[in-house]
Amino acid sequence: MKFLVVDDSVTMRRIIVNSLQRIGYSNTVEAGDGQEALSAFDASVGFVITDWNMPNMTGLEFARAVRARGDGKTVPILMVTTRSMREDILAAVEAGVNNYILKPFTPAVLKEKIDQVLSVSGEVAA
Amino acid sequence: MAPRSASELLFDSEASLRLVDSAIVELKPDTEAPDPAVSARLPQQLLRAFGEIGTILTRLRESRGVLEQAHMDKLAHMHSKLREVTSATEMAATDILNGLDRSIAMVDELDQLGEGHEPTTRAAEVRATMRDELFGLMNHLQFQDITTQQLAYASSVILEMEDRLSLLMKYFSPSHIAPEIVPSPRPLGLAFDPNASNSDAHDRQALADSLFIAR
Repeated sequence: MKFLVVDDSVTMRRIIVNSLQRIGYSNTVEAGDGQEALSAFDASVGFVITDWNMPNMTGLEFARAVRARGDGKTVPILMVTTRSMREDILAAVEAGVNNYILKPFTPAVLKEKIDQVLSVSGEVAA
Repeated sequence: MAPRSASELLFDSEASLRLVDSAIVELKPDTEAPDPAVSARLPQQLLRAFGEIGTILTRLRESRGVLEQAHMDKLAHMHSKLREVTSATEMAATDILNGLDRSIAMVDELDQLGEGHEPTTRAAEVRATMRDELFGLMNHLQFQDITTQQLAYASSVILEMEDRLSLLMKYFSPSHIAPEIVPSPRPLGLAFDPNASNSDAHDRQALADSLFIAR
């Protein structure tokens, strides 16, 4: 399964990609903001992990844009962010985000959330 | 004359404003027949008010100088220091990540070198533990992203303060008297969460989980 990892922090992208490799997902593509991610998004992407606060296009706007596309209605979206206010989390739910991780996270939490999302969407976890 | 602080100047300005206010109260039109004594004093009171307004303007212009000094030197310096710290932590984090990647690759290599030989359980355990430790260190570098957001927030507060001071200074001195204020360079693509934090991760995650389960 191909993961699209979206974060404006190079450090965070490396940490997420390394965590994914460690739990068995080595097929990854990266993007530095929502606009870049939207360009990289196609039907081959099976899972999206996105930050919220990014320049040009935020993760929330990106999630809405993906959901508005014909090929993005069902792709799992996991948001990994520092935004922990109740209204922010509810906005993510409204935007069609499937699950939510607060930074700083542990690889165990990342695996748990990916497994949860995949089990709901019927995919087989690694 | 020794330079006076902004607070002293503002205190003087306030006192002058109070005098003007009391002069205006005295000038307030009376609904009853005008008192000939007040009418006779009117030119003097106007002159007094005019003098006070002149004093206020002088003091406000002095305040402008003090504010401008603080604005140009201290705020700009603080802003540039914050950018420097952000850049330094980013470079350090990248260097550490590179080092950890190399270290993990070396542990993997040790595993491969051990293949074909009789592996000792202890050696395999140590390599696995070392890999976990290195990976854990890598994960701790998330602090860099969070700190960067905190610094970006602090920086945005400074820039906002600078904008407000500039506005205040323009108000104190008309543009044909005051020199043009050059604003600090604005960072491009500043995206941050003002509440970004390294602490209480467990509680914050629990709130997110409860809201996602409840949907």
